[in-house]
Amino acid sequence: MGQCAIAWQRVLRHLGFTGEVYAADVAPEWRALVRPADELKPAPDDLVLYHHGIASPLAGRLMHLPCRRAVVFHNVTPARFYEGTRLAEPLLAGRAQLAALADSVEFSIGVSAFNARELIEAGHRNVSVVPLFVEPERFTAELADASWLTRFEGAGRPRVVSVSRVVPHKRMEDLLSLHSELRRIAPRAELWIAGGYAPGSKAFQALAAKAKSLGGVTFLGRVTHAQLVAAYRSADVFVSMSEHEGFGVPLVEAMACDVPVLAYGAAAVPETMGGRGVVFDEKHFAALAEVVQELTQNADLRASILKGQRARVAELSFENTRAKLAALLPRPVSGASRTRPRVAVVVQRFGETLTGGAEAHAREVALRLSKHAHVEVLTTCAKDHLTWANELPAGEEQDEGLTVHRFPVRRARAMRAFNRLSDSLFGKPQDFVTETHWLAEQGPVAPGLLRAIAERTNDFDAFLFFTYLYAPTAWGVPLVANKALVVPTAHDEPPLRFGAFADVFTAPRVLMCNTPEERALIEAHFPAVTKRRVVGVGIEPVPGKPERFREQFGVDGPYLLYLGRMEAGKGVLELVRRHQALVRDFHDAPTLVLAGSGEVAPRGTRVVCTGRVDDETKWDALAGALAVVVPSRYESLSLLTLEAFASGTPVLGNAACAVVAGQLARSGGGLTFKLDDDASFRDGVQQVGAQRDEFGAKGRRYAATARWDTVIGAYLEELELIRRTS
Amino acid sequence: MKLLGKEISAAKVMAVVTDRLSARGLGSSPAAQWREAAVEPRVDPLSFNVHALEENADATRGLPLETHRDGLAGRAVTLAKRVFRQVGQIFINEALGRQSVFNGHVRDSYSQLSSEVLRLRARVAELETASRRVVGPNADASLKESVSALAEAIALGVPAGAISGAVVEVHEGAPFRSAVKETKKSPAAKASREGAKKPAANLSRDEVKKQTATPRNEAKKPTVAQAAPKDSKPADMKLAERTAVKPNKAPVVRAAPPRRSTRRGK
Repeated sequence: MGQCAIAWQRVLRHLGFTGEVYAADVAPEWRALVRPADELKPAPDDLVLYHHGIASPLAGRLMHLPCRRAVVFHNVTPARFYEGTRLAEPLLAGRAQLAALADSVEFSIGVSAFNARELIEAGHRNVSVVPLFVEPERFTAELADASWLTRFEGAGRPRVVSVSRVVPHKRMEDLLSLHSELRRIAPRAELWIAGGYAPGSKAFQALAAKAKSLGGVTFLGRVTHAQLVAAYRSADVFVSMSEHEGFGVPLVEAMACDVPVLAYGAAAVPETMGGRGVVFDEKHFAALAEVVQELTQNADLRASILKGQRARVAELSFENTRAKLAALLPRPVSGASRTRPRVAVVVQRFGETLTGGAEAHAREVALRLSKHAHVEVLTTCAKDHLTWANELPAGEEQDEGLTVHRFPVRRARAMRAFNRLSDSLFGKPQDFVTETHWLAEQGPVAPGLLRAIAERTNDFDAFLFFTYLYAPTAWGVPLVANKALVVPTAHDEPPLRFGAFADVFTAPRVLMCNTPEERALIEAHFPAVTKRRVVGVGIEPVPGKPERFREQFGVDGPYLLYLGRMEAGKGVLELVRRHQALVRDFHDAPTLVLAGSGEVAPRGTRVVCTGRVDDETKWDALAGALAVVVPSRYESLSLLTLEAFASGTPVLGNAACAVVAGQLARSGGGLTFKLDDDASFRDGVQQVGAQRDEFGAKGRRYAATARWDTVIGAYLEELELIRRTS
Repeated sequence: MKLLGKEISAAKVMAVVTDRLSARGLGSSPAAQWREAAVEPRVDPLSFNVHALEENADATRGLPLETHRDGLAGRAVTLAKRVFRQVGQIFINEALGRQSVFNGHVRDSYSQLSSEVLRLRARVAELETASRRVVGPNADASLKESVSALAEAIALGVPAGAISGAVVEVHEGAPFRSAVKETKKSPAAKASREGAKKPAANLSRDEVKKQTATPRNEAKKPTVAQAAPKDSKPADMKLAERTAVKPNKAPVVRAAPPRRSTRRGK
């Protein structure tokens, strides 16, 4: 149910609805994504979709909520399977609650037609069916855990897998009976059961004892998503003996993993199977064992079944669920376009004094666009991009003619915990809920901002989102996808591999990329990417006075300049290390000037930290530098590189950063170096020092093409296209 | 056994299976007609809640012993819980006595309220039927007038006794209704009470009695919540209204457990 709530939240965003997920019990580490039900305070026009299963105090609460109400029914396991246990009563109570809800809800949804019939039986009237969906791209062979694939490689055949918690109505004892029969005809047969279990329960102990006596049975327990994919993909047949399913997600997951499915036709199972795979009506274990053998050995039969199963997975798609929900929840169509375009700029932070390339970019574009269009900015109250603390007042304010709407961030970010979470997730395939959880922790989660986007859809011709990486963009784009332009500022970083960001790259009308490298990167990760074009940014150089800078900060002789956020992620610490090695080896090594503010404050011989500098000082510093150093590995566009070029100063860029390397290769305005290699850095400094003027001239020519009127012209072109077709 | 699947020839697969089973000296069961799974019957919330409160009112009675722990630790925990219950029951009773009393009151209150809800539902259904007769082509004029008066009375919030056709005085002495009267302090409530008397004045007591189909004693007949003796099964309780698969055992009303020797809350 929880997975469905999170998945449907995404579907609803695609329909223009924003909202949050609430639950009765929420573990503290999930609070960024799911809120405690006590905090649910709906407005009269709000719709609360209550996901119902086993008895919950939320059912009673729902009946008294002063708003529109609806039920999503996931079914309740019949209590007869749990007689004599503590679970029997809550199961029965769940059914009583379902009946009690009938007159308190506007409409009811069954995730299967079977569930819809039970809703009608319980007295619900306005009942619809909206099936769950599985995304096949999350079950591809590449996402399988390699170590588990190796683990299963030498296992005997046929290999049967079943995925579910070990609970009475799933009938694990029937799986063991089938396995016993299978071992008679195939002594090396294996049975893998993935899913949680209570090792202390008598029922499990009895199962474990029987499994041990049979041999070839492995209780895999709880598994990660990658391990689950590996288990599915290593198996010959997926078997379900469950005697009650309201839908049966593992059946579809197995189909997505190209495993033939053999399932007992209980409750909603035949419907979920949709005529694909093999459904049986009687547990004749000897016969079923022969069927498993046939499915394993008969290649033609197997191929034909797999083909049908793929078709079923395609039927139970995101688009199918979206269409079904769209029919239930119609939205008013977009308003008429006005003569002067109206644009909303959505960005995680906004303000003149904020440090941050994307934020500065957003402000520059917003200000320049405002000369041609009515522009409003939707942003948060945050100043600090690490904590997202609400430092600026919520509400409306004016900034150089722009109307800025600020919305509070619901939850500050604890970086240490967030980094731990990131470390545990990066580099491994994850399921949608886990990725969405990370995104919620990443933030900034500003429900008011998302609500404003949804509610003001018709006030604007277009919504211009900045930076793919943050929640306002990832969750805001689907709300207004048909009017969305995204400036992704994508880097080659681990989160770019998260499928949870797919909507940002596939749903909007157009992506406004900064460089050809960024466009290629996005195309590599998201094959279904929407229309994209390279737009870049413009620069307006100001002639600088180097002597003024030298005097102000006491800098003598040649100097290398780094300008930007002082953060470890930007490669500043490594740069200082390379520089210190240079100082050790050469008595005439240039000074390193670090201009910017942030979380690190490196010290060293001939290192000058100026702190954050104003625009005039920046141009003075750029004009006098021997070379500008760009150590960052993650850049979607190095504005600093362009500004250095415009000042006639060469650039030394991190070779690992494809964007900067591309800019240098195209312009000839500098060289790349390896950030972890002293010799490479030394050679780079020597070469740009020796040929500063030649590099400078080439860079200056390249920078002359980065003009704001061209850039804004491209934005207006796309705006016009959206207005014409909205 | 019967197989279903668009991509398979069920007969062909079953023939292969049957052959293999025969070769092993085993038989397969003949394919029966495929039956669509039946849905679970509706569980009536009012009756269920009465039962659940009845079953759980005694806070001193423990839940089934369970542990999620494995092996020796699991057995030790279960044993410890069992010993604790046996040794400490007298103290459990002492500590939870008032809770049991409170639970008993909750159960009894709910029984009374749910009984009232059932009676009102029946009455509303009755009035709706009467109303349909009134608006029809062969509507009876006098009936129409009386039903309109009753509808007005309902709209003005006449106490339940009057709506049901039983005169107000019948219930005046009942603690539940008098308590309601006493707690209504707002001007709106007062106006409502005053207004409620009007239809009664317009409609004579005899007329009220005549035009309400439910006899007084029937209106007062216990439904779900009538205070049946604790040890007996209420006659009209029903949890599963229809049985589709097989009857649930869980909802069956069990007789209260025999009284223990130790002191209970109630």
